[in-house]
Amino acid sequence: MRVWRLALLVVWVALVLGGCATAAPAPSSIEALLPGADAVPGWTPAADVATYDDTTLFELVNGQAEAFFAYNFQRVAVGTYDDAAGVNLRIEVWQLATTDDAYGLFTRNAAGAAPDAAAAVDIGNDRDADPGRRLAFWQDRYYVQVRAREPVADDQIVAFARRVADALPRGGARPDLVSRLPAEGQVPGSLIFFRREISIQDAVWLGGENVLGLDAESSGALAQYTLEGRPAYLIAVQYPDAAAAEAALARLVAAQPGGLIAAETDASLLGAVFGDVSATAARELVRELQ
Amino acid sequence: MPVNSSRDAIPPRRHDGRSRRRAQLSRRDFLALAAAGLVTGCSTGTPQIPSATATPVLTSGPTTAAPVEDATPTPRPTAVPTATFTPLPDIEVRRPDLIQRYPDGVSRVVHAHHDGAWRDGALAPEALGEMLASSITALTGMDDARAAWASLFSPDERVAIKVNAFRNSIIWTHVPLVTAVTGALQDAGVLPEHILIFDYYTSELVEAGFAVNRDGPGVRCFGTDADYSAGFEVADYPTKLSNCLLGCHALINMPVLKSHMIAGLTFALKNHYGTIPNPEAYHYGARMEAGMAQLNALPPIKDRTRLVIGDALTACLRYGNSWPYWESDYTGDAILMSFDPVAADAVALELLASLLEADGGNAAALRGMAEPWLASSRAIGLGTSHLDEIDLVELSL
Repeated sequence: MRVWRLALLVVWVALVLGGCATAAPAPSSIEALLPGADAVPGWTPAADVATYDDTTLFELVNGQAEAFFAYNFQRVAVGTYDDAAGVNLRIEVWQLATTDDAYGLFTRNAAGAAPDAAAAVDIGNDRDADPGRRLAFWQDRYYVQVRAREPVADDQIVAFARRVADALPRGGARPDLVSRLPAEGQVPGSLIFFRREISIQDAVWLGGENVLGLDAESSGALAQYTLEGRPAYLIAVQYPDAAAAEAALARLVAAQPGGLIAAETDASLLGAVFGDVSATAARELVRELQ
Repeated sequence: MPVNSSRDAIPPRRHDGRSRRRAQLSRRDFLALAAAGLVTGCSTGTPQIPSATATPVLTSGPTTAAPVEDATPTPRPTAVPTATFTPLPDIEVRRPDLIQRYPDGVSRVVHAHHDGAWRDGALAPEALGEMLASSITALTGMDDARAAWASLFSPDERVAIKVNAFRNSIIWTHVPLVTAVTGALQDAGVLPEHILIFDYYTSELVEAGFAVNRDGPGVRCFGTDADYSAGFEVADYPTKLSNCLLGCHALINMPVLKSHMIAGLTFALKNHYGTIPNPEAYHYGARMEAGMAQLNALPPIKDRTRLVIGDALTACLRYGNSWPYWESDYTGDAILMSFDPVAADAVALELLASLLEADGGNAAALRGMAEPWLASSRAIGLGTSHLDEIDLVELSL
């Protein structure tokens, strides 16, 4: 009997370990995610990989660290590479707490000039690109950016990005909340998944006092729409329960941030529209939230 | 030269409508021009000699960043004057009577444009010289630019110039503008070896196109690196000050116009986040609101500050969310000059906001984020952020 129990335990452990390894091999260290020498022919590391955690991030992004803390930043590795002509290429691998955070940081940073070209590259879950300069993607709980300071052939940038993607765990899906925003009229590339106001404040200024009551159990999405020929922003925030959504609605209405046209709740979901549009059009957009 | 004195907010100026990812100059071009501009101004073996006769304005000349030169030969010293820039514990910091600002006087801000600031993609030294000369006379009310500089800076004083060469950025205080300022100082009698261009790290200055010169002839240029003096407190939190600053009698604050995701604006007051080793301590909420004001109110900074010369020759209207966090997305033709750093920031904020709105952006966040620390600065008497208390002088050259 004892032998059978031991055998079952061995089988169970093997299955668990094997399953984990197949589904999402955890990197041994974040430094190891960056390509080494000759990983991409013609490029050599210009310096040792630098890593930063939440106590040292300011050394890398002094003045902008909050943008990353807003997505539950854990650590980042930065590698730089030179080619024979002295062109410098930089890779940043950002590790966040969850896949939602990685997606959110990706949406916040997406500003590429060629979304169609980026979409055609089969790397990561979503991509963003400036041809010849930059390719960014997210995968699992990682956000990755490959950027050249001077123009570089796209296939070189893609080769670096693919090396990193191959070293990352697979997986990650867009948060459900994102799909609740209506697609019709949404400005392509404008969607931002957020956890704190700071991530959307350059589009909609809410006063910097967290009137939406965002916390670890809530998250939001913002997208720009064209209503009546004018720009408008729709914000949707998912709360853990209806009471939290109602409380946030009350705070938002009391704060009267500039540009607020309509705000409503539907169970645990809050929707609000900002812009210079009619109240009727704004309310219709809020009610289109799925 | 039309001169308008106005208390109104700055109207939007010419705007090229570019996206933030389209800088006018490539980094390589910029660095090449900048390096050329500093060859003699910052690190050559030929010190620039102050002149008793020259004006700070160049004759028409090359379009690259040449230093302000003097046409009148003057005897050159046989040895390089020593200037260690170590802290001066018993320094007597003077405040020239010429310096007037809120709350003791009216805070004036000069906003000078020059249609010829850029020529063939490079900053034109002669235009920069004209902007500085016109601004300093408008600011001081004196007729002669050289005399105005000389009334603010004595030949025996060491002058620190705090530029913005921040490493997470690729928009910096323009080297040719700094070179024009160092030229004007020398024309006023300040020895080049008594002028120090500094920022946080030496490597940042190199990246921004400045030529390092620690102890050779000519204008000195190096970063604080780890050379700080302790014993200061800002917003109930300890900090240190750069010995580059403490080793000088006078300070010229030369920021560049940028938006900021927490402060809204980064210009004169926030430029001193590069004068301390722990700026991260003052980037959050109440500590930023109080810290920005209190840092600039520390006597070694407040008492040494003789001028703010703000660079709006380019600007970053929209900060980025990935490296580089700041890059030029606007090409301008202006500088701001003031004795009052708070007033300079208030005017710069209106300028930045109007440019952003003209480009289709929403400036509400910039204003909302900046208002608390501007108000704090005014409340402690550092200067004024109220536009109706500022004498705004618009110059078009």
